[in-house]
Amino acid sequence: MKTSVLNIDEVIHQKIRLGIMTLLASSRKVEFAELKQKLNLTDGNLSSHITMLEKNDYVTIEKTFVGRKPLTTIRISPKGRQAFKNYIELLRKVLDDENP
Amino acid sequence: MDKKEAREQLSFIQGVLERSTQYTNISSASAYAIGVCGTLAGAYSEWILKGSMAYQDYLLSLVVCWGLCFILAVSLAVFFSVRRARKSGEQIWVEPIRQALSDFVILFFIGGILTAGLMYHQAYPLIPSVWMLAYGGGIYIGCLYSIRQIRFLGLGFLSVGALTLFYPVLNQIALMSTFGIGHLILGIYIQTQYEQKNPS
Repeated sequence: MKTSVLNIDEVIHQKIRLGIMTLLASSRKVEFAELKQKLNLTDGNLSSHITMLEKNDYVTIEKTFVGRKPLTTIRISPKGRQAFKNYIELLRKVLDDENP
Repeated sequence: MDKKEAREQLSFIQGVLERSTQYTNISSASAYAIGVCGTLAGAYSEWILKGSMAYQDYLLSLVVCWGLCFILAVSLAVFFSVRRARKSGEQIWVEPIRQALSDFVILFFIGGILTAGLMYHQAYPLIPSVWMLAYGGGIYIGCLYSIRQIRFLGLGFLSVGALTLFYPVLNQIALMSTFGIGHLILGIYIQTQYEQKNPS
């Protein structure tokens, strides 16, 4: 059975954003550089996906300085965590469905 | 979305999670540094044991020797780990490292409390066992966040630590073989199995 396109959260469904949300859901906060390293992305690519997640209120971004170096930290928001849970639930439902 | 796509998405999530909970860019130089410090401290302890030092002076020398060994070994291990991470463009202060260190701190706290208790009761010969057990426990747990084979070093520490609880006469050789030779073997393993295959 194909799940209706309307049920799928397209913001999370995209592979890179799914990776970002997975890492954020498993940690309290993650630094931009750490996300970039773990997902093997460029600065620009990661930025655009984080901006998309931020626009949907799925993440919050915190910009600080450590000495003179800028430090960007990303956290998952309660809305983002719920969306991620819903997405996992949807995947489970699709897999549990009796139809092949 | 069909079952095939759902399965693919789930296995992607699983892969990301596995990568995020492991730090495998370990430096063999760090293990060698700890091994050399441990071997030298063990050899020095053995040397002063054979001398004619008064018991209190002997204990003080041991504390100073292993204390210095600990500080030097940790400093060198951090230095080589940071250097390797920088070379490969990786971050060092990542979640698996933070997690492993927070577990290690708890075990070191337990080791410290037990040491204080044993010193209070003047059961000095049992102190090395406590540290081998605490450190071995830390290493064993640490393997959850890193190379799985490290657990064998942890098991070695735990076994030798347990043995010396009952046979403290073996303390010096046990300390040298675990902190010294154990880490040197780990260094060789990391170098041959990881660094030569993934040079940074």
